[in-house]
Amino acid sequence: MIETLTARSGCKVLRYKGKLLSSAVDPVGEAEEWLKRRLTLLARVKTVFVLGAGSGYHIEEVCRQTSARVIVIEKDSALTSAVQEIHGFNAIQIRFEEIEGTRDLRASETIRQAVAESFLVLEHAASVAAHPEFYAEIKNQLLGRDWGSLTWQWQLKDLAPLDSQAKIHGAALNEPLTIYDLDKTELVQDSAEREKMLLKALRELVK
Amino acid sequence: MKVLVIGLLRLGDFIQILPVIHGLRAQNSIRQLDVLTFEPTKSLQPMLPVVDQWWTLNRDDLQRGLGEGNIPMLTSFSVLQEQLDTINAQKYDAVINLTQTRFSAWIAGYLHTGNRTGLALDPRGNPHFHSPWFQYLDEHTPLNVKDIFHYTDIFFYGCGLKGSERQWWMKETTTGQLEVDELSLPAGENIVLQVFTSDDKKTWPAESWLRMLTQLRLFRSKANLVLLGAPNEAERLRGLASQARERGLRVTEAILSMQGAFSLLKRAQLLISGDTSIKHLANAADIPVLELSLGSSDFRRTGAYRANALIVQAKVRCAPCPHSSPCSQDTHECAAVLSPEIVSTSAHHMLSGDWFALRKLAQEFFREARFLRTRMVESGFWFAADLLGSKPEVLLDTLVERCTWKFLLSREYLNPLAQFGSEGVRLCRELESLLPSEALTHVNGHLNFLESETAQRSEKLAHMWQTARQAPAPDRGITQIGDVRKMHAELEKVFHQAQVKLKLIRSLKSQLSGAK
Repeated sequence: MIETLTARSGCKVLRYKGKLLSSAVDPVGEAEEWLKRRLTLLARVKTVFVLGAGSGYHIEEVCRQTSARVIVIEKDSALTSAVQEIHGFNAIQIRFEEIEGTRDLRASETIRQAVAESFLVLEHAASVAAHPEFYAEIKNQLLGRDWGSLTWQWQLKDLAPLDSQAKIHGAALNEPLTIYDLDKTELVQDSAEREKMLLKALRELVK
Repeated sequence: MKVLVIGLLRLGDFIQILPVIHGLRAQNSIRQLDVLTFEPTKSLQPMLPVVDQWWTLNRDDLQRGLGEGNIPMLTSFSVLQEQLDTINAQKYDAVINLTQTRFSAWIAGYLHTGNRTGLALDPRGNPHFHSPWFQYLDEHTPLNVKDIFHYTDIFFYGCGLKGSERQWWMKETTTGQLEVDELSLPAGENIVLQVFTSDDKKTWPAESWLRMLTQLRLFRSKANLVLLGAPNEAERLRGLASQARERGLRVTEAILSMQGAFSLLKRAQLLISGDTSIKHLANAADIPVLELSLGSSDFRRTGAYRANALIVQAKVRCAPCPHSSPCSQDTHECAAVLSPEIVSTSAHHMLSGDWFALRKLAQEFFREARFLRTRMVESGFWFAADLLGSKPEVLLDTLVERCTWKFLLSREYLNPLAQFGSEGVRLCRELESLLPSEALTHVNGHLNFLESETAQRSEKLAHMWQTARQAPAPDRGITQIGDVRKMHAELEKVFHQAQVKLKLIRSLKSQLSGAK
């Protein structure tokens, strides 16, 4: 199911269930291009979640561009081993989390600690395509743009609990939440005063 | 003392507050002075040893974090919180907000300190100004206010600083010098032109610049005409330079960093610019500035803050227009009215130091444009005086009003030894230098009128204030009590204002009669 090939550039790349997980020509260049489009706040966050191990070059590129801790979420442990065999990643900066679903995600102490601080979520398209439903769930939980996942993340930050009756119009319309929703809801009203000030400040940036 | 200065606006706005930062250092025993700015402003770091540590927020990234669906909902929040908590760990003795925006005010409110200056919002969203000067700024936000102090003066006095001295010191760097060396400018006169601004409304059209350059070349045949631009303006600037060359003009294009721009200005004899950060940088380089005040540029608030700059503003009814809205006219009227001839001739006379010729020019083009010469008034504020001269009465009103505000906002009037006499001397000298001697007679007459008007007003206000204080307190709810308190405070303020004004008028009167 997992094959190791040599790209034209000489790098080892992986094929998973018959599909290449990175460029068979220049996986390093591809990874650089991939990250160039995802630089927002990269230098400022404490953790970067990477969804999918791919052939590992995109992980390598993330580590090159930031000193943040990197947590790779991968469904298939065999793939994790194959990637480690190619790259031998340093366990201090990079951690692989093999989970089955959102329940595991919410239970993982590593993930809970990371979510309590600033983080980004970077999707690796070829890996995600191998398990689309799994990654969609994980992504939603980490993005916190629905009421349930937002509440979970808010609690992990050890902030005052949110009002479960919050009037979030985005939730009603099944649309992703935005700062506009936060500004209008009980979340702001019930959050601790100092956090409220930050939300109000951010709201000023998108007026 | 460990101080944090918040300067969360554009690069130019930050340069504009440098005299305040220098003043803070000079007039207080500050052990460490750090700043919190947006990231682009940090490009000034190598030139500003006056700042110990730079904290920066990435405004664009924070905005994108809020707006892009692929970024977690709370990432911008967490990043901001972590950054501000790191700053809080520094335990600043004082936080000074020199920005006066709601964003900066929330930040100023969030940061821990025992001593705040400038606008801060509390968790309930109530504003706290911490100085009447910042409240004055808030009340004078509308564009149509009759008169207003320059922002740098407001921040200077708002920080409790004193005196008329302003320092504009920036360090030239080797990097900047090398950038300018690479331009290989021939020896001689350097005229720098900053042709682009951050806002189309403030930008003079390319065709006007080209025609102006053609005329200026006739006046100054040997001068180096240097078109200055930032790296993000390179393409547009090259386009303009090649158009200039097609017309047979010898120009140099200079795509420079801020360090390079500063070094270039240090070697220049004149800068011609719209309302840009480069204009403020030229103040620090201590060179003459010819400012084209177009669109939303309001020279009264942000004009070239130095003496002997020339500000040229087109006489159109819509100027200055609001920042956030597009031009309300069918054509960019203020830019069209300002002819290339006005600018090229002004530049030529400025380079010759010929203010008499500039006055003649102002007379010739009085229908099209206002010509204002900037000065640092002895009383300690910046002032742009019309080259054609204001009516003596208007000038007197403006100067007396400004000095009154200064005494009032700095609470100098509460000092039993308040220096009304010295202020009168300074005002007298200022009027003598701004007005021809025959006009001083009008001033005397008008002073008598002002004195009697202000005395009557003062009496009336004293009576009203007295009556208001003796009136029984309302018994119908907190809102009414709050309103009554506000009214009392307002009455008190205008009463003191009238009192201060009266003392200044009398002091000036005695000086003028002595001068006769």
